[in-house]
Amino acid sequence: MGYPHPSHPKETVVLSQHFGDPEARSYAGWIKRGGYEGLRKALGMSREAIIEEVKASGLRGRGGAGFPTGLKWSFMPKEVVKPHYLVCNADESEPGTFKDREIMRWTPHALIEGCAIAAYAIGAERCYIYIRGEFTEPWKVMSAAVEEAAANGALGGNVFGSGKRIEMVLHRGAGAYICGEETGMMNSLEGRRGNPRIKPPYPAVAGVFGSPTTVNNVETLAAVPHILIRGAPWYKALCLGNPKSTGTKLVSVCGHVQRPGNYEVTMGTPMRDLLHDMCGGPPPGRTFKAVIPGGSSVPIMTIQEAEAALFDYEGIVEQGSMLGSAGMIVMDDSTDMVYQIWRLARFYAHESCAQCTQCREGTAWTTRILERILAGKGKQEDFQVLLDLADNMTGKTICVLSDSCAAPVVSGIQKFRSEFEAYIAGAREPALAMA
Amino acid sequence: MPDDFVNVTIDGMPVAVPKGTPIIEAAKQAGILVPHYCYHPSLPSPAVCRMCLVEVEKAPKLMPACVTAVAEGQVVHVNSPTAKKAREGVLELLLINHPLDCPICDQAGECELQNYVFQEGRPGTRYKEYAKRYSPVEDFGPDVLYVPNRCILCTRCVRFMEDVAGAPVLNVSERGDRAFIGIAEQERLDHPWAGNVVDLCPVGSLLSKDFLHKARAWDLDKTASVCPGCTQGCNINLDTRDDVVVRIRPRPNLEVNRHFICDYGRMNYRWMNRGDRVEAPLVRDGTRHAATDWDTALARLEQVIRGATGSVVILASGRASTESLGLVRRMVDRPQVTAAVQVPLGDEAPLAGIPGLALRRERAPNLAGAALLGYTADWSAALLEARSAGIVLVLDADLAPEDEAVLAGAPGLVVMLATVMPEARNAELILPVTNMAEENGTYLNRDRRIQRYQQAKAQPGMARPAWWIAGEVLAGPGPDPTAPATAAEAFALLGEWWPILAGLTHDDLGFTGRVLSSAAAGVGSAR
Amino acid sequence: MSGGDGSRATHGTAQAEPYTPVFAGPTRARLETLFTKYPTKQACLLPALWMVQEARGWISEQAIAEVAEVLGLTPAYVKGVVTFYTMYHTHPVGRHFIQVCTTTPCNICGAEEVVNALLGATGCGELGATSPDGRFTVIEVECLGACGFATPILVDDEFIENVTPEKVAGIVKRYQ
Repeated sequence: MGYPHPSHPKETVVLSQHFGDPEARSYAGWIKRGGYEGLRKALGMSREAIIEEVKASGLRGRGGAGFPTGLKWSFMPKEVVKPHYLVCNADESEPGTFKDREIMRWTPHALIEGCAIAAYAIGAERCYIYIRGEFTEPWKVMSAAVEEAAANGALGGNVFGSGKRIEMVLHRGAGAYICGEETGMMNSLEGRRGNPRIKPPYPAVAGVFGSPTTVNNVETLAAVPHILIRGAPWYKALCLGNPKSTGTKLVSVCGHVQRPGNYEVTMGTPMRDLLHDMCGGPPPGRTFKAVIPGGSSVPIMTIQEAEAALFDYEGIVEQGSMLGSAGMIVMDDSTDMVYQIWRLARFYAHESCAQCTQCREGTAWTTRILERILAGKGKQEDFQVLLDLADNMTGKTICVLSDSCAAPVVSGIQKFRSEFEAYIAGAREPALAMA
Repeated sequence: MPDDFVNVTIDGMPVAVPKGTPIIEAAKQAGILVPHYCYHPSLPSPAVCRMCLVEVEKAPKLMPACVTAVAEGQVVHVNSPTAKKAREGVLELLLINHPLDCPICDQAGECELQNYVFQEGRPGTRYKEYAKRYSPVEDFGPDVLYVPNRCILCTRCVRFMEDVAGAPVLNVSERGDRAFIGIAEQERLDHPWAGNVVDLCPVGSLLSKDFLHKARAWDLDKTASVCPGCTQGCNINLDTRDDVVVRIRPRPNLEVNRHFICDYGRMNYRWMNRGDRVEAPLVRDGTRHAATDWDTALARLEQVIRGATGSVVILASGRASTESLGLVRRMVDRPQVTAAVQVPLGDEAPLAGIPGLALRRERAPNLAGAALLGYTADWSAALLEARSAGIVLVLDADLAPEDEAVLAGAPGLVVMLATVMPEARNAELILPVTNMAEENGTYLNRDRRIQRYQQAKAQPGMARPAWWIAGEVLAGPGPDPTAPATAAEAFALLGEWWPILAGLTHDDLGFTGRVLSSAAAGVGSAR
Repeated sequence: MSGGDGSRATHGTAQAEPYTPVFAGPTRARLETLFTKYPTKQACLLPALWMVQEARGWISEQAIAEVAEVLGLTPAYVKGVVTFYTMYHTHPVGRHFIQVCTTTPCNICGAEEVVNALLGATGCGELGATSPDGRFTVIEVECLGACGFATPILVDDEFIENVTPEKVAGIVKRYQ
């Protein structure tokens, strides 16, 4: 449902059904809503059978990369030689994205159940849930839920009498966007700087603590119990567009819309429906100008591109951007694109882990150029330098943080060049004083 | 071609290298240098500088050559336009905050940033409107300064301390372009091997206080040598300027010291430059010594040796070359000879991450060589014996004042010394010998590896290696072609008496030495 | 820093006071329990640092040394980790620490006005500074992950959504 707003008829409510309902947070309340049936069913299945079911459902990673979940699980060794680990990525930090937060706040047991099923499927006895440090409320809710689940036998040394051991440990981050990148997260969990690692080795071979590891996003894991209960064909049928994009997706919509919030839609829903019907369109007297559809790391779409797109992995690519984490930042005609692109670049410069040269220096330099343009001291040559830097920051580093910084810059210059020109020509009042 | 080799083509050059070799090392085999900063063959690779990106055919993007293993049939382009452009991009970014203070930077001339920028030939910067990052110089430890402005964050120093020294006292602090190499307030970079971070630093960010502003890199002559500091036998370069040793740096030898030396060895060079030297042979004339030429001195030495009765005691330094120890021992070839070598002791300081590498307790380079040549380590017994010996030969030993006093009374005292010995008034002869920086020679390390060191500076005055003196005496008076004229010739003579060395030549030893075994004895003679 | 809270030392005087370890009694016991949940002690570094900050309000050099000792690490190593994560304070802050999200999604919804209102209402004056009464420090932070509830702020551990400049005075009053 479009939390915090009532459900919209164009939504398909699966994960968000109980958002806003405090009773669903408790173990008893969750059981009343059919909770833990998926885990009970899973415990009666073989590991392989669960993985096959999830593969058949077409579920893809909801963290941003869209990698098929069942396939990822199948990379884990069949024999458990070293301990296996499941790491749940609850470090939701991508600007524009706030869906995992709501899952943890309102339906913590859905996540715990999904984690338990996944842990069993990959042969892990321990699951770490890495929650970003700023999420103080989700932390409290999750802590209480884990305790309750353990007290009721849903976690622990003998889950629901099955003889299986599944332990869950909450781990608090401390303010670092890059820990949302899975290898950065593993380093952080090990008590290191959250620097992304070079791959190979891949996590399924040597992940956290040198052991085979699967990292899954909160929303991905929360969908798993539903798939087990209702079956892969049901999930797969939740698809309006490309058959490679199945199920429902929580879309976080923020910025200049009348009803910002989390909307759960079937993959393939037209973006126009999301923007105008579900979110109620732009604020009174305004018109839409641009949309960043997948969290701040993807190219900016003009409103024309956005309104022409189907909301699924392929549909957004067709219109020149990416689904990413499905955090939609909507901007109306009052938005200063140059200022906001600068603000994004500053975000990435602040969050760069400092490992790779292009990212460490490139994000900072990009920020400074944009700052200078905003201060009314831009030059025509700046376009070339910005584009060269973006090229230098794309596809050349360990992780994609610097690519993410380049994406809005390049798309911004391509699609909103006149706004840059206005600052450079002095046709627009400087928005910043230069330090 | 064995199965564990793969064939790759790098910039058109086919090479076969062992499976698992990183492209950067395979390229070396093909004679192609892939520019790099964070990569170092003796450290784990983080692939962070992104300078070594190369084009690998069929790969979707540029690959870091330092961590990408070769694959059969791989075609790599190090100098393709795409790869070069990526490198230029990295250099442009590294330079935006790097001060162009090369004129006052110790690293200038041996700086990997300066060198690659020079090769590329970029004339200016596009980073014009902004001030460069500035942070003050920090004192990291006894011999290390950190100049953060020059740092390119390759993290070699951090990895050395963490992964090799096993003492992570350096860190990367902060994030993004605010990051720097940090140290905790209560810690110092004073590990016994810490000085290696200065060598590892590809730019002038970590500096040796000892070498600070002492010499320009391009004014230095580098001479391959072996560290005289202990029995480990680390390979070093003696860096000299105008005949003065100004710095010791490690010379790679993967079998002995990889790329490292300890701080004790690094600082152990000032004595090589000492000025209080005996410059001419001195013979005793009544109560005083008179300077003379070598012919006279050698004749007198022969006389002393032939004329003496009783036993002979040799008191030798553990720094003396195999050649000198051997020929001096032969020079007094008679029944009653006690040859002893001095064994200075200190604390052992291992380098945790490299098994078999340590600053050893025994602080002299040729103790194994001395033992092989029949020298005992029982110094005090030899000293005691010296009181009643017919001849006492001192070979560059560092004598304690009380021992000097004992020897002052010995009847046939001959001292071969590099520096002045105050209590040698009674010596029949005082013969000036070269120190190890002034001669060619070999040392045998604790693992029985015999290694050459080469002359790095001129010998002062008439000083000669001790093997030359002994060789002349052995050959008898007058010109004799059998007297060795070079250390190599002296070395070749040793095999006549010590079969394990038979047939082995200086040339056989190369720059990294050779381990002596019973088989090694036959190497030379087999030809 | 004034404010009569003698327990919190300022930068310059920190070394003058004797250091009392954090990891004693129940805090030590909590840490020992945590050790059982990870295969390495080092993995407890982030949680241990949180415990220090909970107890002391910030993480001093001495605390870094203590954490290093307890976990078998070096102070430099711990410091490298501490400075990576922006939520750890390496110097004392006001009694109430206010973080305001100003990243793009909130920025376009007026987050900068919220910042200005907070700087005024708390008396901090500028970002990162502590108010003269020692009660508040206000900083801008990157994305708090509640973009649909612009502008979110975090006052200590309390997460407050939908803050507007008009609501600021009331919020600040609750922490007076």
